[in-house]
Amino acid sequence: MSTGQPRKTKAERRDEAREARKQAEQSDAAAAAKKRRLWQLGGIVAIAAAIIIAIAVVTTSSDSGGGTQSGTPNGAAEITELFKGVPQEGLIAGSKTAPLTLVEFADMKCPVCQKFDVNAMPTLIRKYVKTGKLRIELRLLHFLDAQTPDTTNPGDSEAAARWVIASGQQSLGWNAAELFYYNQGDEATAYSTDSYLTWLGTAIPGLNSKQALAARSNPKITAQLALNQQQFEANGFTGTPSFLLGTTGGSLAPLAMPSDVGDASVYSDAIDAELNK
Amino acid sequence: MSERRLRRTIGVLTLIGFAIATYLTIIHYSGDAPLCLASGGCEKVQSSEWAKLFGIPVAVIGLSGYVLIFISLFVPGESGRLLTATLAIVGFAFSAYLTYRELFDIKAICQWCVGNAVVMTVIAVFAAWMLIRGPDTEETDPDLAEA
Repeated sequence: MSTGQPRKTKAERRDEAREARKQAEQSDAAAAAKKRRLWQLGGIVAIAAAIIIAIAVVTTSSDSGGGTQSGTPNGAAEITELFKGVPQEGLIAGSKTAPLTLVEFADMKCPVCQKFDVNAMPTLIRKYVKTGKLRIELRLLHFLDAQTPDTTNPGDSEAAARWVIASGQQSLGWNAAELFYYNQGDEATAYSTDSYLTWLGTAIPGLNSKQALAARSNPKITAQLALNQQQFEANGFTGTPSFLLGTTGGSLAPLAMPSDVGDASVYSDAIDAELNK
Repeated sequence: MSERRLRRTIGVLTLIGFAIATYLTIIHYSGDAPLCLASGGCEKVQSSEWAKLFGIPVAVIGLSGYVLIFISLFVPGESGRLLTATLAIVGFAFSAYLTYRELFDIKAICQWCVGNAVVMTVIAVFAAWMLIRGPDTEETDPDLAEA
């Protein structure tokens, strides 16, 4: 009985087998290549994860690494650039003809002040001070010395404040204050030593570090600190940072403490409102 | 989808991401507040301590990433696919990390950053697809079948 299909010759059967083997080899090669590519993808994902973990670890450890001398102080170049072309007189920065003045009462070791001065202040300086719309004034206190006394250096906060005010005598007070905040350490430990302040001072171009350290004991600075404390209390402030905002040379009014002191937009809104009056 | 079309799609997405990163870089250096639909979120993110990594604005890092991805699209073969996928997946991971910081540390959302993260995510998906699928075959590229 015939099936209707011609019988394949030996050569045809051999060709078919060769073709089948070739296809199987190609299929195996494709599967191996795909497996290799999946391994490559896995490797890439692992590399990406390792990079992000490294960034997270480094940024987290640098957050808690303030108050220690290591390499160049954080933010040194950025702060120099920030105050480039900004006139300074004592701890007042900005044009004398600026229509508004913002006064900040702060303690150099206060972490909330640091949050404001590192996160919000640079934006305000770029947006308002550099454009001649705002003058900023820093009035320093040292109440943290009483609240978080460190037996190794009971006047650590005052030492920092005196150094910043002394740097202001060289018209670099705001540079000193911002640099200190960028490198601020734990408020409960003492670190504002001569060595530490010298390390910071060398990262401020134009600052005579020795002169700034020597000027800290100047009676004028003692008087300035006392006056700042009086003004702080007279305005009914109880914590830092606290702010006064108003017309330059005119009356200044307390600015309500925002829920997030590091949010520059809150201050921008208040400044814009005053400018539009 | 052919590899050529995948590369073109990634190229277009890279240009969109590049435009966003350029805008954020300009805003960073000008000190202006970014245009933001919600109140202040963008300015808060831009002025936060997370807006820089090792002193370099993250907008500049993003800008560089897009430039490198775009260049990698011109590298032919498996090396090109591998390079594009590596850059895109690292970029995606970095965007995810920054989004985490926005949500849990800064507690504000910047639409420009979210837009950037979405673009980078789509680029990473396409780049990973391009890597896994390998070179074009007659099935994926009709031009090869014709040839």
